[in-house]
Amino acid sequence: MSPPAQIATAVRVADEASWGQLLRALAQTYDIWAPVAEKNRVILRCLSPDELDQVKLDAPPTLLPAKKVYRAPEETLLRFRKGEVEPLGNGQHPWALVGIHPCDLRAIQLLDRVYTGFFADERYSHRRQQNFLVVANCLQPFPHCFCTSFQSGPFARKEYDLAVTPLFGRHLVQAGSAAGEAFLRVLGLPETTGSELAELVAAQAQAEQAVTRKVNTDNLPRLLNMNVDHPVWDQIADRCLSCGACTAVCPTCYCFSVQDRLNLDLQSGERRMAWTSCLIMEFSRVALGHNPRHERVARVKQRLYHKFSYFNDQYGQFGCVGCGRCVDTCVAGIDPVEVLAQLRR
Amino acid sequence: MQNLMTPRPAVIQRIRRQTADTLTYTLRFLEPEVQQAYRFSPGQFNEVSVFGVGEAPISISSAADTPDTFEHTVRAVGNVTAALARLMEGSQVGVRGPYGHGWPMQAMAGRNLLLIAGGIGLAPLRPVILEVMRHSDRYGSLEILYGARSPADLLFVDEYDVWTAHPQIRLLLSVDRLEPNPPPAVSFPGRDKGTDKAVEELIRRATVAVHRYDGRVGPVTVLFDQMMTLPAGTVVLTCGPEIMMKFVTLELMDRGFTCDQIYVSLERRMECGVAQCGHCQIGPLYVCKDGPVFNYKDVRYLPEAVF
Ligand SMILES: Cc1cc2nc3c(=O)[nH]c(=O)nc-3n(C[C@H](O)[C@H](O)[C@H](O)COP(=O)(O)OP(=O)(O)OC[C@H]3O[C@@H](n4cnc5c(N)ncnc54)[C@H](O)[C@@H]3O)c2cc1C
Ligand code: SF4
Ligand code: SF4
Ligand code: FES
Repeated sequence: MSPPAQIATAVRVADEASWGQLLRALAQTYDIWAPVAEKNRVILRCLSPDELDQVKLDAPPTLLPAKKVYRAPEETLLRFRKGEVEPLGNGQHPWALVGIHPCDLRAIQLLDRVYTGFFADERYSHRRQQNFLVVANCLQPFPHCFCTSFQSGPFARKEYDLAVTPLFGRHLVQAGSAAGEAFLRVLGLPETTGSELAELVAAQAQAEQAVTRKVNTDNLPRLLNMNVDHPVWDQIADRCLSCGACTAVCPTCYCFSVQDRLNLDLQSGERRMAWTSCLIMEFSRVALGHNPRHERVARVKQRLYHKFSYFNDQYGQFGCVGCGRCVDTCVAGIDPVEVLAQLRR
Repeated sequence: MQNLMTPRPAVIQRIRRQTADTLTYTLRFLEPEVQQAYRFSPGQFNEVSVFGVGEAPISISSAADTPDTFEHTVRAVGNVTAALARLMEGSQVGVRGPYGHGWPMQAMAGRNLLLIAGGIGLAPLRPVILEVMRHSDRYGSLEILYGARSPADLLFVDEYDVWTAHPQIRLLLSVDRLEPNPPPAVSFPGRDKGTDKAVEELIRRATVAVHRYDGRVGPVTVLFDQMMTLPAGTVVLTCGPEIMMKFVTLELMDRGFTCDQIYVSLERRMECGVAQCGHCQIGPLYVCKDGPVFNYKDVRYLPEAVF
């Protein structure tokens, strides 16, 4: 993980051709993961070298966030044969995430705390160390965004290799790390001496203004802790279907389950991990049936208390980056912004 | 690539039957250097794997200063624990750990100890009992209040006389009822033809022990009236079903114990042991990392009404 970098001030201007050249240069070293339009959704996926022109920089949030690249929805933890663990090869090719939103970038920093803060997961660290992050600043927020409440957008502040802002038909590119700087230098993109920096500052201010959905975060953990019996919890529990979609699409939800799969020879197999959700009934069930979160209201509360209170105790920051995906996804229309506002009424 | 959650192979050296559904496994890591480097503190746990079935968090039930082996005492209640019950001496399992914070050994030095356990909850406290026996000069008195559903569910019955032969140690027993329980929650094939006989013999010895130790019928809290330990200079350690600990802590507070001298060992579903799978969270706490042993004052007002 690269150390926090300063907000970049040097700006390079890339026209359509040099932007394409930049992507092709990246693709020499990295697998390119980027938002692309697929059917009527935008998804994050790995692109082949001849698909680089499909990268969408002004796309709405991808269906699944960047966490799926660092820990796939399902993956193999280890393989075993006759009681012996077989080492897993590390065939992972380094990747570049191109065009992720600033809120998703912040979410990766939160996942760093989860997966390397208390105990370091070598596989995650390895993937993080060899990745290259190209963040795309947002000029126009999407209907459910509330990133400004958590200072996670609409412009990225740090911990990217490159930031790109599509402005007036060209790409304004800034380096945020030594690796990013070196890359731009090799590419030969000159720094501009024009008014682009001022344009960026103005665009950022305008984009921030455009995010109108807000969470009042003043004393929010305390407010939650004082309102464990507020009627709003039962109200949303009545609507919630316990489907877990909100946690699946959330860029900071990290919970997983572990399951063994035995091959037909009954001697070998693998241990898999898969995303799971605290909204699902089985999540906290223990042997012989006891379940501390048997009631749906307890599970609904766990998600929102974790995001807006417990996460702060555990990792020193809110666990929500305001990407709006859960709101967009929830068929029951449960919206944290709305729920938290009700607590203040 | 080795992962944080990769277990090491360990071989079952010995299996001792405790009850119809509970066995004690003596284990040793296959690789001598792993066994040599392995150290734990009483109250910590391991993640134990039966490959192809899964993994379960299990407390270490042996003395902390036995360098060659370690023990787990496991009640068969589900997939992994029942699979363990089907293994033989010489079988191999996967083990990783130790994890979590155990009993407050520092705070316990020089103090009187009161241990209150229910059912399988005695397993993580056994290392404390063995520690006091080995280093009696480091501790004051040790009083054990132990409750089980029936005599047939008492653990470590064969050790009670050895424990109480120590002048510092006193043991009080309670059972919910004197008749044996209905058959175990999970049935599993006995390892040999003698299992039924062995269980019968265990129940006989357990029943003798209940009489010898003047056992009471009722929840473990019925033993409080016979308890000799006074609050001053005492550290209380308790482990058992949550509902039991709820009543135990209330009763202790009534009797003048303060919440900061009480330690509780909590149990939550666990799937990683290393603060990543999220299952074991209670409020801001990860039971696997911050616990399983907590000072009662730190968990007394937890959300989800644990206490
Ligand atoms: C810190 C700690 C120490 C423990 N020490 C002991 C011990 O010394 N002896 C003993 O017999 N039991 C102990 N338990 C309980 C033991 O972990 C469960 O009985 C066991 O996980 C059940 O697994 P299973 O696969 O047999 O059951 P299933 O119902 O098939 O469970 C499936 C999975 O759910 C999880 N799970 C289910 N129940 C529990 C539970 N109660 N606690 C945590 N995870 C659970 C496990 O990951 C398990 O593999 C301990 C639990 C904890 C949290
Ligand atoms: S809780 Fe909702 S808005 Fe917040 S980060 Fe997760 S998905 Fe995005
Ligand atoms: S909200 Fe639920 S699923 Fe998401 S990280 Fe927290 S406990 Fe896990
Ligand atoms: S057991 Fe996975 S977080 Fe505690």
